Amino acid sequence: MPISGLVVTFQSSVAEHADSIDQIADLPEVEVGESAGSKLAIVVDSATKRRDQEIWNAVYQLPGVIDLAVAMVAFDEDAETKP
Amino acid sequence: MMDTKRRNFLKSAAMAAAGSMVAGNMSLPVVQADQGVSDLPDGDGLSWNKAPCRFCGTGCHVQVGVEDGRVVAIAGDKAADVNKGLLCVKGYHVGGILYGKDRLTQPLLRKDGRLTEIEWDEAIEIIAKRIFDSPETFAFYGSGQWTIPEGYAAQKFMKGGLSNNHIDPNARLCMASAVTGFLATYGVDEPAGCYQDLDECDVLILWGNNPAEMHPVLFSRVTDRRSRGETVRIIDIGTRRTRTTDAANDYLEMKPHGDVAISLGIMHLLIENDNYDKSFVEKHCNFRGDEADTPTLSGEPISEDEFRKRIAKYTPERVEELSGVPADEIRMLADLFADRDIRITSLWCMGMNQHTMGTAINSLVHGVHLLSGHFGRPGDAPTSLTGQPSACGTVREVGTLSHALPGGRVIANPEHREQCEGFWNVRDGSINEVPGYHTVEMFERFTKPTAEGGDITTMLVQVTNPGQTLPNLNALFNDKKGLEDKFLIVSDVYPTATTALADLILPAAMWVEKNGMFGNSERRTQQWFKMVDPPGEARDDCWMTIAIARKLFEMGHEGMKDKDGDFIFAVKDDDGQEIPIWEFDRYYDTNVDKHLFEEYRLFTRMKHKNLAPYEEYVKARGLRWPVVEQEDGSWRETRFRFSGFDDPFVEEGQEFDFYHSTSNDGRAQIWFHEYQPPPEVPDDEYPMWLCTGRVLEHWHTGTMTRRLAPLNRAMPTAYVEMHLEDAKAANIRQGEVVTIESRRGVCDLPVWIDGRGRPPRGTVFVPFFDESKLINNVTLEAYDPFSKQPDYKKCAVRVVKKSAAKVSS
Ligand code: SF4
Repeated sequence: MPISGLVVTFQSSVAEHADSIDQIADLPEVEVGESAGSKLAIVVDSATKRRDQEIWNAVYQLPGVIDLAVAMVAFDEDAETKP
Repeated sequence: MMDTKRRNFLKSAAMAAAGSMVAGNMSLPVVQADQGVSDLPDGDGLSWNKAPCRFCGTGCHVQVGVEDGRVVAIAGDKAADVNKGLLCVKGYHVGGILYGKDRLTQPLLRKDGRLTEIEWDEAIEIIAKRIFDSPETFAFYGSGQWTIPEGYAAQKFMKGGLSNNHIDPNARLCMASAVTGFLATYGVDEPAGCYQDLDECDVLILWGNNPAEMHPVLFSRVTDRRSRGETVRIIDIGTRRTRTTDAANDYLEMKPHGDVAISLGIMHLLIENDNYDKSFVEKHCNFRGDEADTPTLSGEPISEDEFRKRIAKYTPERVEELSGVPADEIRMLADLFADRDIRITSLWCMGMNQHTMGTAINSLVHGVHLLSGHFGRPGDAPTSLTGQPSACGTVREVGTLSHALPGGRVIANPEHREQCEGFWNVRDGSINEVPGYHTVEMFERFTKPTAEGGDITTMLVQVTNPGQTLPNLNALFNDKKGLEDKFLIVSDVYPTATTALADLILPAAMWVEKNGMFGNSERRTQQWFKMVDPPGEARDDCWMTIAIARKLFEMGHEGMKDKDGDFIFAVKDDDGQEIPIWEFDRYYDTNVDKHLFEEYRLFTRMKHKNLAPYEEYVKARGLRWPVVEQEDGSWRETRFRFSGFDDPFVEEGQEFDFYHSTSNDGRAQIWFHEYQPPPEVPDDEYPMWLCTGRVLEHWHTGTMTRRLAPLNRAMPTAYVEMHLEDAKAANIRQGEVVTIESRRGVCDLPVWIDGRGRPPRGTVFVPFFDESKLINNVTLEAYDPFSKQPDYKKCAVRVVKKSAAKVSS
């Protein structure tokens, strides 16, 4: 059940990407935070690592998003997998 | 499961961490321990400490959150100049790599074909006995993931203790050609510039390099500039389109080995158009070419006229023929280099290094920058990147290569050997004067019957996975007979393709389960402390080396004693009593890393790679060498080597000084190398090029990242990327499993048509992270004559529908 603080970078000012930001805000697990210039802070609080990754992929693929970086992630005590 | 209060607490902490990145809090100074954790939560027993990321050579710093002896949170370190608080998707998951379900926790000995648990004492005894009985047929294979103290201990054990130079790292497979390129050009290894070049360049040229996926945080330093309104022109020169291409202004698609022709073409035009930087060349450069009979890394001096004569034939049209890049694009590149008002940074990694002309192409790209004077100002730099977190720190600086000694010294030089014996206080002549076997040769000799000249019989592998990464694996490991006397020891954290071949498996501690130091791609030495215990009986690799050495000492091996009769790794307490660091429960009675590092530090002054005392690295988020003490007792790092404005070893008033010049005159060498075709090219039988490489989600052979469920799910299997028209012509459908065949072997893979990477017609690409699909059964073992680095980027294959394939892998 990870909680992550992410930074979304758009290819131009955040103000020019209202549609993508709306789509991010529509994700129930996401809280949209501060923005400045081309960057937007979001927090993702998801039930599973799978959902967390799905959200990551969905945000990364939105129009205008050129980078998604991690500021902080906290996770619980689930063991990881084996291939 | 976290309770609601804790979730809310962590959510507000995560928002604060992300928000502070957005609010422009991005340029914090480097050396303040508290700033990295200022926004992070510290209640509820959660404590934070710094460490470099375990994955790539970018060397981002993370803050590791530990609670109840377990890593529970990761944050980008805001006090770190490299990543300024941010991490890529692999950094996000770095904490999880400790917790795969199948960690190795007990030594395992293969008896009658079955692995059986044994105790450490027995394991150490078995290894020591094999070495004692035949020290000269023992080899030690390590990696650019060894910490600096681990590599240094291995180096001293082998070369100082056993008088045996058969030690080499996996970095031979990834950056050896960058080393020989730097040595041939400047007489000393590693980039002159640093990551600041990416913040200041006007043009970024990527030579066969895909940083958007392989060094994402570095690449985002450039794309961030654009999103702030700055203009940076990105030129991607490659053999297939990647995510980097998506961000590039220009994509120049070249044929394999086209980079050699392109660099010659740029230099030809700079000379032809008389717009090279005459003043820079006259003051700071010589010209050099290969000797006619037996080329060496030193080459021979040639005149500028001779250089002009040799390069005259590399006209844009001829280069177009050789490289496939249109002549006008070659002119465009040459015009950019002719413009001294802009700043140009070149970046490269495996594309130029895994190359049978690796040394040549590295030297030529340095030559383009030197000839045009695009060197030594922030933003004007030829810079190689590394894939591993300490390929520079441990391999290149500690010198864990079969021909090298710490601090840029070499085995072949008697004076260097003598100095090294002095630092180690070992008997005169301890260091064998004959260089050891490089990686490919070492494994060939280990996998060849002893009676047929296979004179390596025991091998210890630490922190790497050669059973998956060596080229032409079939020839090395499959269907081998007469190897009953060979013994493979593998230390690792998880079962791998190499542990599957091992006679003895040693469970290792990893990352923050031990103390460590890394050195990243920009000469930055980084330090961290152990934060959690390793699982079960897993132990530090450095301890393993010291425990084996101690056992040999007790068995009476003379090499394990120094000149005073003391153990070569002796550490004494304040009362002069030896601390038994070879007993694992006493290993952390002292900081062994610190003892080893302070000894190693003596070497670093020999070639202007000066390092600061250990305690300075405890305070810093890494320091870039040379690090020199100031009058006030502080320690100053160096961003731009050889440049008078920053390098403390350039005499005041001088603009540049290449003070390790191979021509002993303070000048760098501009090399001419003739273009040569690749060692194997497609033909009627094997009509396609195969290129191999990595993917964003997985790091190298995937032994860590494939255990992280989200990453494994995002990229569960290797695949073959194919062009749509090639697939259509062969009647191959999306997702269909095909067989990739070469003259050496086969590999079955699902097809990804026009996927993430888009190869041109006639080329396929396969990533190497998946141990269930070993593409290195197919790749070629041909290597660069100077660096001995194999070429994994080009060989001839055919793609066969499964129903038509001869054999299955
Ligand atoms: S860019 Fe490399 S060092 Fe940085 S977080 Fe990603 S994997 Fe780790």
